[in-house]
Amino acid sequence: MNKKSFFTKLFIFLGVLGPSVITTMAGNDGAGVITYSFAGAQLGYAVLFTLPILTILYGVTQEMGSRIAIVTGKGLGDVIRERYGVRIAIFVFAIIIIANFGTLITDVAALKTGAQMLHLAPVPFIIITIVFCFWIVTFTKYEKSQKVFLTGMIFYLAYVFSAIKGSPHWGQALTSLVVPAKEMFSKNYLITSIAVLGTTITPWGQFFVQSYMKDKNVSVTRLGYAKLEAYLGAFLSNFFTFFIIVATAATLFVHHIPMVSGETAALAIEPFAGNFASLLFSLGLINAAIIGIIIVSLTSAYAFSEFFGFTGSLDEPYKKGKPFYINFLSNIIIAALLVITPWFPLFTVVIYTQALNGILLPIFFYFILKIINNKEIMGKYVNGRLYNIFSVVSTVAITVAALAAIAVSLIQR
Amino acid sequence: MLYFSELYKEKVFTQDKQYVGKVDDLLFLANETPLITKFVVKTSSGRLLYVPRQFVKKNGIGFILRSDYEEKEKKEAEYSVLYQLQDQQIVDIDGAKVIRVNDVVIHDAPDFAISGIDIGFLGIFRWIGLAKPFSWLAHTLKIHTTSDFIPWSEIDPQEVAKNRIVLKSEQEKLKKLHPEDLAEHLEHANIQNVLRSLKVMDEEMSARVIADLNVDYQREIFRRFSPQHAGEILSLIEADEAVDVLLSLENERREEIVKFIEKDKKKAILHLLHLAKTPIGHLMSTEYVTVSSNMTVKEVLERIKKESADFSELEYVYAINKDEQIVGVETLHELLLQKPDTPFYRIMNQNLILGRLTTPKEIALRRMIKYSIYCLPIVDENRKLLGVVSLQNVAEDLVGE
Repeated sequence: MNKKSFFTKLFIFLGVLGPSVITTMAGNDGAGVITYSFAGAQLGYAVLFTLPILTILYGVTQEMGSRIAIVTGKGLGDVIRERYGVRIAIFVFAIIIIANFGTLITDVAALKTGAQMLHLAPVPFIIITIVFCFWIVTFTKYEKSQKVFLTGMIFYLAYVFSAIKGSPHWGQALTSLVVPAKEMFSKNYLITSIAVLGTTITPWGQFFVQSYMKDKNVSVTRLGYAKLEAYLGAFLSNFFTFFIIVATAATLFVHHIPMVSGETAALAIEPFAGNFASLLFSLGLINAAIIGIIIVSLTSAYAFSEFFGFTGSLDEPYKKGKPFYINFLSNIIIAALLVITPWFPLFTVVIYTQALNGILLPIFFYFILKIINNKEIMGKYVNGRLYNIFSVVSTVAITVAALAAIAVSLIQR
Repeated sequence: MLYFSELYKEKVFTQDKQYVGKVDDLLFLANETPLITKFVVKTSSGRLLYVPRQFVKKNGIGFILRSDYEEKEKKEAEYSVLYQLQDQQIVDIDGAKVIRVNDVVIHDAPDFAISGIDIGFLGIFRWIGLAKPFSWLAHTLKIHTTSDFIPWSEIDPQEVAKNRIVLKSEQEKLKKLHPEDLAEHLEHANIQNVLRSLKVMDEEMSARVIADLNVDYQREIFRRFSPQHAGEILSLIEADEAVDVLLSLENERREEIVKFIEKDKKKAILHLLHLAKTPIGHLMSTEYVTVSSNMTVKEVLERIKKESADFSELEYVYAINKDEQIVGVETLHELLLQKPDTPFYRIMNQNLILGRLTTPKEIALRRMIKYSIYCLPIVDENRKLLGVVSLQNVAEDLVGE
């Protein structure tokens, strides 16, 4: 009897599974992978100590987003427009579109790097990938596109193998998760862990989980499962982050190979982990970039339709949601054209994108906390007292970290 | 007509020009006739003032509260334009998201009421004060701007009461109107609304309402009433009004109704009906200017200059639709005060005072005096404008007799 009900629960859970896991895993997009590789190469296993904290913060923020979506049946854009009116909606929309566009450029750039590492011609490769991305979101139904996303996640396993090939010191890696390192207070450590946090908890991730969850139409009775999923997603995402960091820590950090940028990680680990590991690492980066491209563009498209009320949902047939897809496609194409352009100041754009994301994050958390504590909107599903204190502390911490990251990157220039 | 975006945050003063606060919200009744019942005014100290609509008047600088205004509580049956209409999603029957309310359209005559919702992109620009540059840009680039409008009659009021905006007919989906058709719709919607609200009123009340309506509505209404009910209502309104209604009806129907009119009233009415052998057709002149309701004030003024050069007098401009039916009127004075690029349908008065070929000249005169107008448009059965009768001409004719 007991056993049966466990399986029933598991079955329901698997039915609910999707939005949070997909969003959190997409947090390991191209930009994410590059940052994690860099962190592992710079600081070695020590940086792993940030992961458990990151997991909890990630879980809390994702859980709040998906709870709002399930209780209200609305995306973040919907609620902001309805509660705060046209003017605020336009303001928030403008920032998110610009910030997302910057993130998109970063991901297309990661795609280009991945292609170069595999000795493929970047331009045709980028074109083929865009067509592939468009096809996935346009001509597949919600259920199917979700399967494609979930399948894409298997490619993250590449990092697990990549890490194993580098024969890391597993004991040290695991203890680093719980034992703080003495270099924790060095400037370098702080900056790098903030960067890790900044590429993981993002405005678009916060926006996307809510829109995607809304599309899935999960009933309020399943709220418990969705909560579980948010934390599972945060865990899974950082599970792979762990291996990305370990892969570079075991090779580049241990052998004191200086790394100028995260993109070159795949090439740099080759002498230590072998050809195969390097190949897997490149494939992983390309996969991460593709998922990033799709999810970030979808977020922009969702934002447009939620704020301005044009039909926008993955569940709508192609013709009905035309603005949604035109928006989606035009974003990717412009980003790709910019990345291919030789004189495009990619690095500057990446820095400013990070800054914009940093500005947007506190704005989003302000709205999320206001909404989630509003009895009129959330009914009995408002934050509990303790949970609220916890979430406020978490979001303030994330905000401070994000703002610190902007300050640092701007000063360093 | 007004847009909610233009009303929102408008300044509110007392009659002696004391600043009270700003318009924060409007409350309305979520039924077939969505009358605005209260203005919510936010004072400078942040307090919300709920003022019944009858104490509020619009003027050039904003809104004026009558000096004897009272504050009331918000009632259960009253809904908020700001929170329950503006920015909300409109869902179709399946509950799938369709589109968002970008603005709410309110007509201010004869009474403040919601006439529908604007779902066009222009609505968004209106909120950030960029509607004009945007329309100018679109006009210059020859792009047709969409100010798409869904009339209230398409919306299910019961669902609004449940905090959802649902369209009534699934088959029709979005039956949108363009601004040029808007004015016509407003006129039409008013008849429907009037008929619906008459159903719930007692006789005395409905007689008062009917008496205030223009001839066209009155005729529509009395065609639908049973002769007995029509007789009872006519007994309650002034004799000359009653006569004009009766004259607009077919002979047979008229005689049927007269039977049911109360004795004393009947005598007066029969007397006036007898007088009505002298209709006003011969007093009619063709010295009038008609425009289309989507023309701008500038275009209207240009047309007046072109067409009225040899007129002996001109007081009003009439808006007509494709079928040459009269849909609105505005005075020259009001036209001169408006900004040149304002469309005529935004400013015109849709509550028309009309006469017809059968209207006796005595009644035409009384009506012009009652509503203080100098010129009465004469329409046929289909509301097509035939000509105008000026106060001067009628008075001369009667005195001459």
